Amino acid sequence: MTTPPPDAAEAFAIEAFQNPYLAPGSDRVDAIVSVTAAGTAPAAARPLLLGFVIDNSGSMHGPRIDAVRHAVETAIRLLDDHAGFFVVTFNGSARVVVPPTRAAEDAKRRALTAVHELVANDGTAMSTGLAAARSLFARSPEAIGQCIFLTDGKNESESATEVELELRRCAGLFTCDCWGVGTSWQVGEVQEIARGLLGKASLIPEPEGIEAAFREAVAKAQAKSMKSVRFRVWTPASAEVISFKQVSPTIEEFTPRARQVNPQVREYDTGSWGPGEARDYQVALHVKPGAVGDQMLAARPSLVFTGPDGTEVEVRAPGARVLASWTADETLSSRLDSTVAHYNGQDELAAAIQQGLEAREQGNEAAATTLLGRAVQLAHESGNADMTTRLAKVVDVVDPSAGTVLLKKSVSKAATMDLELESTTTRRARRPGGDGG
Amino acid sequence: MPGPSPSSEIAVRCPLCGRPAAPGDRFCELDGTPLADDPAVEVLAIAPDLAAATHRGRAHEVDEDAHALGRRELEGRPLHVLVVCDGVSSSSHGEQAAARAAKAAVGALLRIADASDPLDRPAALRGAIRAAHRAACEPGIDAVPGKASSGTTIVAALAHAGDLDVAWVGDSRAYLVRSATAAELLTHDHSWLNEVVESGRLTAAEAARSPSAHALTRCLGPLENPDPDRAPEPSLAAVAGVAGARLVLCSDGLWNGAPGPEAIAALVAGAAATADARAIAVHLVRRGFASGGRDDVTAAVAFL
Repeated sequence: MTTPPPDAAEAFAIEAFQNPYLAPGSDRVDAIVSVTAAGTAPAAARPLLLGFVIDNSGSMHGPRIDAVRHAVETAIRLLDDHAGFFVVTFNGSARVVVPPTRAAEDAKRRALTAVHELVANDGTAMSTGLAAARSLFARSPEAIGQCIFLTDGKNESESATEVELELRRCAGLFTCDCWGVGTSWQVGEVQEIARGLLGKASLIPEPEGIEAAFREAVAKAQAKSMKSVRFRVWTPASAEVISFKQVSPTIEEFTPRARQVNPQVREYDTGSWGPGEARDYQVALHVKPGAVGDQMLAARPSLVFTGPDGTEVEVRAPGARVLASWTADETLSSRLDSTVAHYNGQDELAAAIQQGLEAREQGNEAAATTLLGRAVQLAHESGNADMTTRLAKVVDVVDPSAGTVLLKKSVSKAATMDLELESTTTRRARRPGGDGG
Repeated sequence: MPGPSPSSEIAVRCPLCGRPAAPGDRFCELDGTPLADDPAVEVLAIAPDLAAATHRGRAHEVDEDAHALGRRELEGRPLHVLVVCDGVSSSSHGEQAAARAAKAAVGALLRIADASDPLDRPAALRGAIRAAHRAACEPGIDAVPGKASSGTTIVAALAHAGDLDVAWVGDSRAYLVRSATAAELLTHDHSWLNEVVESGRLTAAEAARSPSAHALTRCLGPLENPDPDRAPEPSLAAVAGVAGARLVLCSDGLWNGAPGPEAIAALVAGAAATADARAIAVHLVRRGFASGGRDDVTAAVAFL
């Protein structure tokens, strides 16, 4: 085993939150594992390669493509000169407008000229844009590959399978945040791309918002310092991972993405990280039930990444263990850990919003009122103020603590899409003794 | 955040499975149990299909159980030899008699197996019991004031090509586990309890309440008969068609906590599905220790 240099070994702080006490015969262990990247980047941070993948189909014509041109130009100006970037456009097929280049002044100038000449026409085949980006990212395996994907319409020039297959080819090469402009695009389609590439999908209601979104995206991308970070879970031979989810900043199901390293070790790709970045994960385990007094290490979480010198670094924290301890004392075993409970609530909140919006879409007003009312109540209880604000655009809140709401008669499509997209954005659990933010 | 730097840590090994613990951790890397509270344990793993483990009990200063194993390839199939002995605690240095008997019995069985064609398994087992008694009677075991002369139980098994033969003296046992729910006890303890129940004097429930319930009626060594050439008569059992089954030999430290064959089957099934004989032996003694803990616990396991 390699001994990581001390700075790499401290690249992440890992904490586990759980109630380790189980009643005799109990075989399920739930825990939240909280991961925070160190506040300063490792000395030899990796270079960034930022790819813009822009929809220039016919629907983008007019103010949208004008706004995109302007936003991409602004984003390019913001890039540090050691970062790399490229611009790909797609309609029915993809075109490399600016090939990968270092963001030096003269290269930026040439790129701005090329971007200025962007025009919008033809259909929409999203997989072609992703495929072009993939081939460009594949040339720079050492770089942190981050993609900014923007569309405004439905993926109507190809089948959904094309995107699905392309996402599989892209996975691991780069991560991708996606934006939809206006309200003519499909939440599910864009979300699939973001999820498949460990990113987030967001709504930009009006073209004027594109520039602000891209500014934020560039800042976030330039902050990344580690790529292909894997969350590793060791379990005893007799235990099974029932589920593994990211629960903060957004809820993402990772269970089917597990890579079985050996019978006792699974890994989940978490993409790239920047200094100070914090994410929480929820792990559920099935263990062999023990007798009263038995104790076991049910899981050991760690983070694994490839260090600057090419060696694999595993970061463990001595305190970050998931334990199981069987006791006859019900006051101990019946307690629910507050962090675990918080994310159970955020999970229920996301489900209530999604099901509530679906019921509303289908005209089932009674079910929609109940579900969205429950969502308002959960958002209120957990202090998720952003979600409360979003919900209030779809329902009139009568009593948040009781979950009493009335469906609004007229709701903007953007508000509904935004609520659906953000339903999985959680409020981070408050740390015992900390603010939790 | 992190504790001591990796270079300052000394690797701790799990005494049961032998794997090194993770740096800074004290858990078994196979099954996650804490290492801190584990008393001395002895593990012998001959092959993935043959292993034994002893877990020292809390009440004993010395480990009175002993085990020995042997393995050969015969006609292209493994021949398994397993012996478990449990020194009589009221006798002088029962642990020495047990260790000698186990070693002598396995030595004799392997010698006979190597020299015979065809192998007469019951005869080989009788020869092994005689050799074990002789070894236990040899001079050199000190008398302990207030204790009787030395004695030990023995259970010995010889398995080859789907046939299994077992010989025993005392209350160490052999279980044949065919699945998670199907198992049989192959031995019948030479104990006061069995004797009074068979004679009809007491019911099993009544006898079990007596302080003498576990008293032995037969053992090996000078406690039974100081004449090295007059070994007690072992009981014998033979089973055919055992290929694919698990054989478990154990001392009373294990079966006291899990007396029925179904309980032993459940314990064997409780180990990981990928477990080898070593892991199952370790699992058995650990569970046996957890359910009682006063006595030594020994289990020898073969995949037949």
